[in-house]
Amino acid sequence: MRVTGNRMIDVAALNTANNQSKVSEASDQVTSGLRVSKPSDDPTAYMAAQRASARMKLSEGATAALNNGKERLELSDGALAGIGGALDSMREIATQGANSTYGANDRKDMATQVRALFTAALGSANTQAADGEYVLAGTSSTTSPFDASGTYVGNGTDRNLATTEIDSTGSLIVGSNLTAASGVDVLPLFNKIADALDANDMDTVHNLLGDVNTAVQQVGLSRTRTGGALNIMQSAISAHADLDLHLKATITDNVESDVIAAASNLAKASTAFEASKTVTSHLMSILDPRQS
Amino acid sequence: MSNLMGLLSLGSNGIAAQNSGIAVASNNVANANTEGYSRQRVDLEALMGTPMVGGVRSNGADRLSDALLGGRIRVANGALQMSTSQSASFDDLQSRLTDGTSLSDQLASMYASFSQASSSPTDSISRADVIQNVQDMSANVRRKASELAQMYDEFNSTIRDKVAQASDLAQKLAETNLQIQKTNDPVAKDQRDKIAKELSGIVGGSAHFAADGSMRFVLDGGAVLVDGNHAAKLGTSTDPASGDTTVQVVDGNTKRDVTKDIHGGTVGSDLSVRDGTLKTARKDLDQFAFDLAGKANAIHKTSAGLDGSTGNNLFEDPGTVDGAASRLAINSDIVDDPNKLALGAVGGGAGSNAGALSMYQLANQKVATGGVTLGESALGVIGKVGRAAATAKSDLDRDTLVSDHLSSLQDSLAGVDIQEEMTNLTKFEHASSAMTKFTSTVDSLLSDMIEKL
Repeated sequence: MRVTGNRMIDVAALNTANNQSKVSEASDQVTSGLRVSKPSDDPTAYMAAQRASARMKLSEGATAALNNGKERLELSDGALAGIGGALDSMREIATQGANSTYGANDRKDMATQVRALFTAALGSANTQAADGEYVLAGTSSTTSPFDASGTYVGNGTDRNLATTEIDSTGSLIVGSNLTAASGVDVLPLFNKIADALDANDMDTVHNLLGDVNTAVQQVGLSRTRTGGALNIMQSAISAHADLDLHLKATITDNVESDVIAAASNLAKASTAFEASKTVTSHLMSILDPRQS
Repeated sequence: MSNLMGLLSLGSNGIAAQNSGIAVASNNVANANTEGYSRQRVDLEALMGTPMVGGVRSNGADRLSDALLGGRIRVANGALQMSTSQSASFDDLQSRLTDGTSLSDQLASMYASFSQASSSPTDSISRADVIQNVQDMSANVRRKASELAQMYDEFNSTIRDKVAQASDLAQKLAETNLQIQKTNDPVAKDQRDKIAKELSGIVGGSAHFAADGSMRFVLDGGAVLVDGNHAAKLGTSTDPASGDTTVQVVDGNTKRDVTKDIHGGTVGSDLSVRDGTLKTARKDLDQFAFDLAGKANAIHKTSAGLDGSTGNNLFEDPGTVDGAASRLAINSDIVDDPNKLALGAVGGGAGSNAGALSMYQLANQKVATGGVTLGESALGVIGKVGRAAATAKSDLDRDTLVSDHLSSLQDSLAGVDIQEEMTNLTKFEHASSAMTKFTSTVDSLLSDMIEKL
């Protein structure tokens, strides 16, 4: 086939431009670390990375909620621990108050101590989170769940948090667990015992010791539930962390460049570019009519 | 004596013939870099006669061309211009859709904000974050809808400009046909090939030679644009229903719509992207916005705000699917009073998060048109564009290869090679010098004879 000098130079120039473009592409991959930067580079890989990226965001949202829920449960556990501690102290005092070796004045002092314990327990029961919500109030969380008498005025509705995109678990321990529906009314019990001690009514104090034991069990059971819920949340948080790692790997596999392969491609493209420049220059020299 | 006079005549004819060879070679060198120029070759003809007469005569210059190859080049050029333009358009389209945060990421962020708020539904910061995310989602969809609408308008304007340019070229082609009919000028033929190539680069189509040697240019659907020295006009109008710029061939009182018949050139590309992928992307985006607003509103309306209000939309009612993306906006009542953001169950208490949880779980529900999740629906908008862009890129690679191959064939036939022309120049120069010497010798012989008479 007849090939003209102009054609040879045109083809050489075109090849040089193509090789320059390949050097640019390879440089982009090395410097940006991305093999796929737009959908047309590899539609399937781009979409897979986009799906993974979106799932990561969903997972981040769920993890943030679970961490918040976990904090809320830890606060609940702290509140229950406070109530439990007050109950334990009250049980010791009530046991003493039911003993005939103590006199009426002693029982009045004991009543004062029990009322102080009630105040502490009420404070714990009305613990608020950083956002102002009462942690034991159920979903009536903007008002204090226990009134001045220790009566529960919150609701029994639990709040669920998403553990995965489709499942959820309870994130609240509601104060209704501390009411007669689950055993005895825990906080009013403090006042009942204090009143009996004030009245030097040894029999009533003695009779109420059974209720105290029930209350202790109620608080203990609630703390066990809190622990269980905390474990579920922690497991879910760990699962989300594992999912994040997997999704990051999916993004890396689909859109990020293999640094060694990209560097190797850059070296090859640079060599081809240099060679095509040399060939073009050589052709221009041998085809220059002034050399004839 | 008479024979010597004949030899003088042979000499002068020879000089003239060789000089025309020099002229043709020089002209070829002069046009070595002229786009569309086909090299010429001097047509020398040996004169018949007895040994003492004869000689050579120049019949002018032949233009080296191949009508079949020329036709293939024009068709290939139409395809190349179309795929080049398509590839650029798809790149533009996908960058308009991917610039900034992607729709799927934005949607996931919105869901995530509901998830975060579900752990603290009464917290004003969490509620503000949800509202901000819904606003960002709406703004992102509106921005992308606006980009696509702008691109659609740009296509309509560009199509109008290019069609006007093609109409002018068709007129020029007819005029060149007439000029060639009158002069058979090889430069005019080059010019005609160049015009036809340019025309096919804009509107595709093909050119054929009629029996009288004139070029006939026909669009892909069969509409004749140029026939001999007559050219129809190419015009545009706006479809009142769709707003599309449409293309017509106007010949006298006859008007034929060829919008769907143009499958090549840059206009073919603009029409195919505008009426294909771009239109689909706009519809998909509208459908996504409509579905998102509809499904999110359904959940929000059956949930309760912090103020106990129910029945409120999260997004303003999108109305119809058509144009839903450009209208997507958060319910202004919620922006004015964040307590109306419904994150709880009706009657569930201020701390209820059932609404927020339902909104988060919407992420995994196949509620969008086509039985997919809203996230997949958002991804589908860019996915189709990405696949079309990848196909256009491979079409461009293919058409570039075909065009390069045909250019090589064309160059092989009609390209000017300077070394070859320099050799021709030397060859004709030597022959001309020899003929001059020959004439001078005959002239001397004649002078001697005349002196001896």
